[in-house]
Amino acid sequence: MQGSGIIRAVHHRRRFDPWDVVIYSAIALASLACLLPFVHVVAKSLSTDAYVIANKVFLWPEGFTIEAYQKIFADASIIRSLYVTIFITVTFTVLGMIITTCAAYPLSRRNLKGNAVLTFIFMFTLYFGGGIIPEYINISNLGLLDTVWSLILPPAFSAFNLLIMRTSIRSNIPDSLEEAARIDGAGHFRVLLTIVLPLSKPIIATLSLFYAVGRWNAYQDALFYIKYATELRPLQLKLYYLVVQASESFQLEMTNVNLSNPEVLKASVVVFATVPILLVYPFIQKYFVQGVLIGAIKE
Amino acid sequence: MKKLVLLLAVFVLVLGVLVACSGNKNNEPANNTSNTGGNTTTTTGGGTSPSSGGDTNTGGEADYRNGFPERVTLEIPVYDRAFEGWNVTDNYYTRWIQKEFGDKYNVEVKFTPIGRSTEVQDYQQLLASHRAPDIIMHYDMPQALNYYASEVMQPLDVNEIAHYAPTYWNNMKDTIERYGVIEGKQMFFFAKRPNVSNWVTIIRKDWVEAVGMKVEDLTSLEKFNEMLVKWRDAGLGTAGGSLQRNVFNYSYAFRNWPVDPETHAIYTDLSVADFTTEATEKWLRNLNYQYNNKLIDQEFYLRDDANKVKAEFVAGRTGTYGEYIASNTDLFEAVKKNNPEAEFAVIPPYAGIPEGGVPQGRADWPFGMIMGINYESSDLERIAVWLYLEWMSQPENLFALQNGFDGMNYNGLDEHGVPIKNEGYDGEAKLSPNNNKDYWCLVIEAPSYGTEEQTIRALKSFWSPPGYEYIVEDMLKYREEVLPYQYPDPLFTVPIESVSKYKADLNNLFQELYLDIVMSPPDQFDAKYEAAKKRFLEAGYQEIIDEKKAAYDAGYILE
Amino acid sequence: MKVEGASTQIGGEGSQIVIDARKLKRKQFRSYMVQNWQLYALLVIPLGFALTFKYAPLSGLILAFKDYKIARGFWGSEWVGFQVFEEIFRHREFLRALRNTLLLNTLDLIFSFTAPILLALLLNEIRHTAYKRVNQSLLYLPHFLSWPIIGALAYQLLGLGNGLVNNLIEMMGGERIPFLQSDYHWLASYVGIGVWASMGWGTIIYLAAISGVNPELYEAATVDGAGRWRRMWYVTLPGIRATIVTLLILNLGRIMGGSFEQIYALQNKATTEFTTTIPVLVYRWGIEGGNFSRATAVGLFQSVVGLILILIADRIAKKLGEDGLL
Repeated sequence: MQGSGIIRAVHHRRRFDPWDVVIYSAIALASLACLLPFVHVVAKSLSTDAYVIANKVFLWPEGFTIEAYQKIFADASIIRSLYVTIFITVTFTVLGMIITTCAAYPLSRRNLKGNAVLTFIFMFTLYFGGGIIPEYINISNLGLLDTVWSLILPPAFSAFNLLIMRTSIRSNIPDSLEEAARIDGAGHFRVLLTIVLPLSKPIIATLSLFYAVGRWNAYQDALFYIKYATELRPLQLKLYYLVVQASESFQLEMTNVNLSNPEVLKASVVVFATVPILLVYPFIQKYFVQGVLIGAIKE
Repeated sequence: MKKLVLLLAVFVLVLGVLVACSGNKNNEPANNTSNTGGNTTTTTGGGTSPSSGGDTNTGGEADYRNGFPERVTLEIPVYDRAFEGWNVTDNYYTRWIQKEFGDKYNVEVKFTPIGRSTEVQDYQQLLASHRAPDIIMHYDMPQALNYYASEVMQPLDVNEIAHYAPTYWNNMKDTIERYGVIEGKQMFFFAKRPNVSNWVTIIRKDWVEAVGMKVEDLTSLEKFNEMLVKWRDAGLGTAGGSLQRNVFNYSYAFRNWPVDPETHAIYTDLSVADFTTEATEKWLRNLNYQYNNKLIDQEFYLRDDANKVKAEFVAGRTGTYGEYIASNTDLFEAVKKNNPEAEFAVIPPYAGIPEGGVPQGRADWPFGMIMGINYESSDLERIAVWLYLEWMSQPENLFALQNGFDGMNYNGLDEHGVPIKNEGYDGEAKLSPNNNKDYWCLVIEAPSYGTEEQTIRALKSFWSPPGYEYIVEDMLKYREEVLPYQYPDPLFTVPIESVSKYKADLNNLFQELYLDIVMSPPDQFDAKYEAAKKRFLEAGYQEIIDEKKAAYDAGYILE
Repeated sequence: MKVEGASTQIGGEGSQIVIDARKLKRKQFRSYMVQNWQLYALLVIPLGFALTFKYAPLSGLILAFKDYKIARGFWGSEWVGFQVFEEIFRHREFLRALRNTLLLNTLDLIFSFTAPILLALLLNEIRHTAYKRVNQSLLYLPHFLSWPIIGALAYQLLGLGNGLVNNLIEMMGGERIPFLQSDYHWLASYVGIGVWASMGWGTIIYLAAISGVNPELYEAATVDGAGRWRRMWYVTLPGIRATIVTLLILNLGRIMGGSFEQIYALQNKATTEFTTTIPVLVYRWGIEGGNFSRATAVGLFQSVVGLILILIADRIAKKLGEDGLL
């Protein structure tokens, strides 16, 4: 709990605190600074090319048109790629959380033999990498090219998330809880499922969000791993191609090439890709508030 | 401390095991390419003409001109520009190719998608995992030479090409023998590039006339600068400018004529700027003058791509802009929307040349796509490539790929032999958004309709936006005028290693140095340029010059 | 215990001690395993993934010591020892890139690392849930803009010639400021934009950590008469200290790294004092120049330095009483 409920119980009559104004305004300013650029992008996405090129668009569309969005939706396969992306994102998040939890919980046990070695082995992967070509060869050898699994399996293990979760478990779940359960005869699996997981809701929500958004936004791996199976192209990749192809100048190419300035298209692509996440977020926000500490142990 | 040591020891052990294991895995080539003994060394060197009517073959007595006894898999690279709704590896035309070519010769034609913007990386990954197609291709010679230096191509036998692809060989013989020999070995083969170009530089005619001049008056760089002064004083705007990047052909306009072949050979290079030459100095002085007198876009260095340059022109801040014109360009409309009074003309070629000079420029190579055969391709696969090129070089096949089919994509031909397009045709034989270019680019770079004149006539209609046909007319007229002064890049028959070693760094250094010089006050020019030249030479340019001179003296250059 | 008793017997019974000691150790080990085998079972999955997808490609690191020719593969390419590293360290640009990398990343650490913490603490003070939620969502928006977009936006706003901000400044009678077109200004803008881009998203983890602080501690502090700021200092901050330390150490490991995209989006060729960093060199040599050996070597250098720094930071953290990483 954030203490807000408790404190409200203690202070049911709030004195006017001038600091409140300061804090609220500071936050508002920061939010505004974050919102306005996005509004600008939305405005660009609804404007006519000519005005965007001339940098005349700021917070309001000039020459209102939804042409760019029509172009995006004109491609029926965008919807299909949306489904593919959702599947990939959900699977990836679930798998990633399982892996992270399976590593974080044991490592959070200080008396685990080989803790340091294992942590080192995991953490090592954060800073040492083979490079694009060795990674590609690896994926190729595993037969994962042109499958959705090339986008799900390799990045599923994240040492960063692992360490965050381990820290969270250590800080927030008192050893006494675990000890009590172990004395009662519970195995580690039980402790994990019945004590650690329920009490880790905020961190699980957080890391799930990181996994999901990370996977949703990234397309660099799909760029190289999905070549033949074009129907498996995730959303961000399709949108990237949409922009790239609009930007290319086809020398000596003849007609049928749409040379529209991609600025508007780029903007609408950003909006199109971001809106789903923004819509989903409010629903998972409530998990960031921890459940009540049931039966807190008296120290 | 002990823990740490233990940690590292365990880890090193684990790593070592993994390294050893994956080492073996990488050595085995994937089972995709049917490898019947990788590299075939050819018996004849490059440059010999094929024996007339002979049946000379390499590697055996079998003749496959009518096909193969057993199915051969041919992997052809194709640029994947990710057009919506178009699958480059499987569509009406790939199936048509399989039917018309593959089935007739018992070849399974597979297409390997190569991302247009990520092509070198794609090739590197495919090559490293032994899954690369049978043809290794690139548009630029420096990169093609890089592929050669990476040893991913096999030497070729021109007799074999002549035998299996007589039409193709006939079209490309001169080009292949002249440009495809590296270090004495025939390595490359090419697609033809017809002599057509649609690059044009547009100027705001209304601005020119507003200051009391006429476009025809712009007969030299000095006159052009005079006009810019007038533009500035009248508050109209500046000339357009952009960041000079690694297609270094800026110095042609400032060179002496006639050109000394040795200077040209050593200093002209698309990928490395000839920073230390007199021509460059003149170019820099001009830019410095233009910049300091506010005659050119003051933030020209921020314009590092075509769209940014275009933005300035469209907004009405600059008065000149160059692009590849096409009939559906949105340039004129966009400018008019923001500046309704705008009128356009083509800049005369002499406007960029100092008084007394001639409009020198870079002539395109007679070739488009540069190709080599994958070092892992078998003899049969290589022969299949020749058969494929031969098939595609047949006029009726090429025409179908480029234009589609009568009654579907077009309805009959007009008096010039150009198909009358069936606008809005949406049937199954629809061409790709760039008219299947990525398939027929292996034999030719632009559609052709008979002779060069006929082709240009046809292309004119494709290039001219409605109402602006005069732009294209002027463009073609000027092109004729400057033709005598256009000449191609020098071509060495050995790869110049120092170029690939230093070019990335030198490009960056060049940009830093030239901007510093251009944007300083005129009195600092000399000192800065001297210092900059020294730095440039020390950063690797001296090595490049030396290597090129040595190659030139040894005769490793094409004349 | 038995061993205790055995130790009083000296001489010939010495070996008995050793054997009994070993037997005890084995017994202890066995009972430990019986109690804790599940932990190791759990670890199998993550280990499997790590080995298959992270460790397997590491064999590519060998390219840092070879003259890589694609056709010859990893193992056929010629071994050149440390030559590649020598080339890199002696390169004209390397020293400047090194300085810039450290400079930019340190500034990043000072500003971009602390901003989310401050923001999270402030957000925590907001009572109205609705206000809080709305602002949070807004603060996350920059995370969804890719750097190329942010770069274009930055120039549109801060450009010297036509930037909106400069136009406003001029309108109000001031002088135009080269936010991105003069070296030190560029540095400040770079850091500022970096903070803006990451501060919102960064609060997520800290807010999650804050939610784990025992509410009774707040109660106790309030009862003791602690005001808002004292509560923040004595309850909240210590409560999330572990998270902060973990993240700090992890970020220290990236001191030789940094975002190539961020630089690429914000740089221009006339303001080059601080814009060449090690990731930029990796891109230039690796992707633009196709010199994969060099790119791998630089990467290896980055990784090794990062690792050393982490180990040092970890020790320091442990000495200060924190959990540390290992």
